[in-house]
Amino acid sequence: MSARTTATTEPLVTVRGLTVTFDGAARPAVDGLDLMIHRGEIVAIVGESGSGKSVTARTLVGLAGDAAHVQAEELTIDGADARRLSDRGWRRIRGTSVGLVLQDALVSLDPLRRVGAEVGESLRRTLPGLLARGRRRARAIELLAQVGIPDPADRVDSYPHELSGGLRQRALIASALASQPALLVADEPTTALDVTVQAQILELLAQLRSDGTALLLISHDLAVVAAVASRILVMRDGRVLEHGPVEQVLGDPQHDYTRRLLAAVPSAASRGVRLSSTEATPTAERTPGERVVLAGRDLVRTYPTPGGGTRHALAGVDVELREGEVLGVVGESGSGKSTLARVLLGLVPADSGEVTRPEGRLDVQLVAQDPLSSFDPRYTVAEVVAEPLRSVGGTSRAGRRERVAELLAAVGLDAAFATRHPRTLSGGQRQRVAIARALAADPAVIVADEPVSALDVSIQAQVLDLLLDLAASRGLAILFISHDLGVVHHLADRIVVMKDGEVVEHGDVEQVFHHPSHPYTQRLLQALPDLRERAAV
Amino acid sequence: MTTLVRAHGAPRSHDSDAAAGTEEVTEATAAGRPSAGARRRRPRVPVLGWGGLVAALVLAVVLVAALAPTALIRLDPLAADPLAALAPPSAQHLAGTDSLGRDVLARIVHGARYSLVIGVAATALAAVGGILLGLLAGSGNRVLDTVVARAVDVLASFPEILLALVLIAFTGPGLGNLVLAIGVAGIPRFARVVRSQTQLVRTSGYVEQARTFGLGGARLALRHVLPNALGVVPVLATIGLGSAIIGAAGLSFLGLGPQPPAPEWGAMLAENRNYLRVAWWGAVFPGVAVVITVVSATVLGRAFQRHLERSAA
Repeated sequence: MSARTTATTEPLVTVRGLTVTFDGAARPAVDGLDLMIHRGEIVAIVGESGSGKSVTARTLVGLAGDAAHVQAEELTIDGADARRLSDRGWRRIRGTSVGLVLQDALVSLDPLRRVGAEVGESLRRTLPGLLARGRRRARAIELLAQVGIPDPADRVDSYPHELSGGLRQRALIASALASQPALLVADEPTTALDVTVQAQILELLAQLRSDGTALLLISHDLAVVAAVASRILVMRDGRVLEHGPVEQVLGDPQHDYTRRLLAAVPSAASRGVRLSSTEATPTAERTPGERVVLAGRDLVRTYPTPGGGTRHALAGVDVELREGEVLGVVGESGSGKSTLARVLLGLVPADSGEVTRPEGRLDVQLVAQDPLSSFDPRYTVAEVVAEPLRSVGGTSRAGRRERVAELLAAVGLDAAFATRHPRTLSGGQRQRVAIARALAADPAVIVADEPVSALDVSIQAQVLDLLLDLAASRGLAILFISHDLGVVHHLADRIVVMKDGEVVEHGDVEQVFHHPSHPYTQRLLQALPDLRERAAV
Repeated sequence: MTTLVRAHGAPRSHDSDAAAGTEEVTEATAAGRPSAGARRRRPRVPVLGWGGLVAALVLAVVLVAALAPTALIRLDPLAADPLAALAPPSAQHLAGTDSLGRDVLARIVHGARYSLVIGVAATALAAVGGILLGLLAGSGNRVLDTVVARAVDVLASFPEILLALVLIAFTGPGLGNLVLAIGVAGIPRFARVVRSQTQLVRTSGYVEQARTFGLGGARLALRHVLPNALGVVPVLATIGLGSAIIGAAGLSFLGLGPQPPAPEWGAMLAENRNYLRVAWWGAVFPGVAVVITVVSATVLGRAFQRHLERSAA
């Protein structure tokens, strides 16, 4: 597959030796970055949090902020020396040469303005004045149509909250395109989106490229990058570690870090292999039993909608979790998968239906997406981990302390962490603490609701490995809820696909992934960007 | 796979350094837990900042004056000496004397007790009443919430001092009634904050998590909801103390507080304002005492607040 678009003569953006340092920071956020972008080319920067990829993107649109000190040997954007630009100069560049698309369109679009006004705002430079209002509106409708928004003539009068996530992101792209920029900088443009919507946005980006727009795509997701980019820069700690065509970087990574990143991506291919290792170390053997430990039958749960109607978060869901197995629950936002978790945990009652839980009240434990908000802000790590024990009583203070040390060791944390405050821990460490807490009372079942979706891919790899280790060593059954099909394919034994409060398909993971029978499952799988497709040289 | 695993494996390397960096910020402000990080920082700033420290010292002096006024000054605040009436500040009477020849400084020192007792008691009343109403409203019962919240709104729609005046009009002047009036007038601000905090905590992730441990009802409320919802109360109370003292002085000035010859600061202002042209010290020094005390309470409250916000961040 040769998605590389032939580069035309003069590069649109040339960056040499870009260094960005923030006030009071010990080391530069971006350190000596070289970058070249041609017209009609998508260049991607991948990296984990703190790698400096977003700072690079913002520097290219002159929005690095007052605390940033930007130095470069060369920083040329569309023929202009960006090092010498004043604020006014930057505004002109942003109005004509460069457009920026941010991750979350709900935050980036003004909630009080109609979409048409938002898009029209960027048209004021080319079509100024009151008299051009009609033409601005017409052009806005054209732009909305260009980014694939259905019924653009109606949508132009919608407010951002009236649009779905995908449409909002399209509207945001439309407003960035309004001034017909030569370069579009997109910072994690699909991260907040469901996989099917993500596929549409990626398609749109690819189409913009073939129309001659240059794109700088910032992403933490290698698969997204693989789907559309022609060249990749891998960044870490402000430095570019590897740089080259997509096929080369993904297919034959030269840098150790890139290899680890690639190995850490969970997918069908990574099944049965530890993610946090570049060597193919097999995961621990698990033997799921036949006994059902947690089950819901015909679960119905409705919520009132603002309009006075009701919405079925669960519309008759059957689910069974057997001893020692990992059951993946996948679905897009609003599919009812989190409600299912809450009903099974007994946190919200079902309107009708039947939940069968194990006897002990601590036999089903929860690991939530955001560990920090699940910790009492006054508690130390030890207090957090010991809480389930304390709540049943019957344990001595010394006994609990010993147990906390044991649990921390089980999740790979040093005993010294016990006295720390969760606020001072990193995201991965916090999730380990949450898992330690869930294990405290030796539960039979752990319900994990998007436990890794807030983590960087290498940290995610470690947490997933840990969960699988624990499932094997303790015979835990895990109900694993995720929007990420790759993650679920990596670790689940069986899978339940949910849509609009219903289970549309369930069965053995390999069966469902390779021979999906429901059209929705087929669509989901088709939308999944595949890393390997382009890595194969 | 060296560095990546070390980042989260048991023996920490650079990862724990990064975490220690954040710790520095939080622990430097946490009382009595000096960490290596805290010591490494610039000249040590006191927990509540320099302003907070000075304010705390001032309030400590006021507290001593209230508890043991005779330790600070020997002179009798009630002993009249007509021969020394309206004497200017001198070595014998540091703040001069009033129209009856009573020592102004002695009266200010002894008067601290009134201001502080009224301030603290009224604030305590407002806090207790406000917390109860706030918890009730925030407990999740919608009918209760509507009733309590609207009642508090009605109460809050009167200016505090006006509400206190109305209450005194019903109950009559005097120390006890003054406390009651100012306390009731202060209820809304506590009730509102505690209500919203309770609602926030009740729907938080950690309360939900605690419910998966089988906690519910009173134990859940005592262990998680109360302590987290009431974290803001000390801040509110310290700031509220200042306005309670101002309210008390104001009402006493109008003759609605402790009756003469009690050396209440507001009452002293009222007694001495007629002599302002010939003996400014009689009214100015009690006024300064009120201002310093109230400003200190407010500064300390704000310092508290900043401290809490910093350690929560």
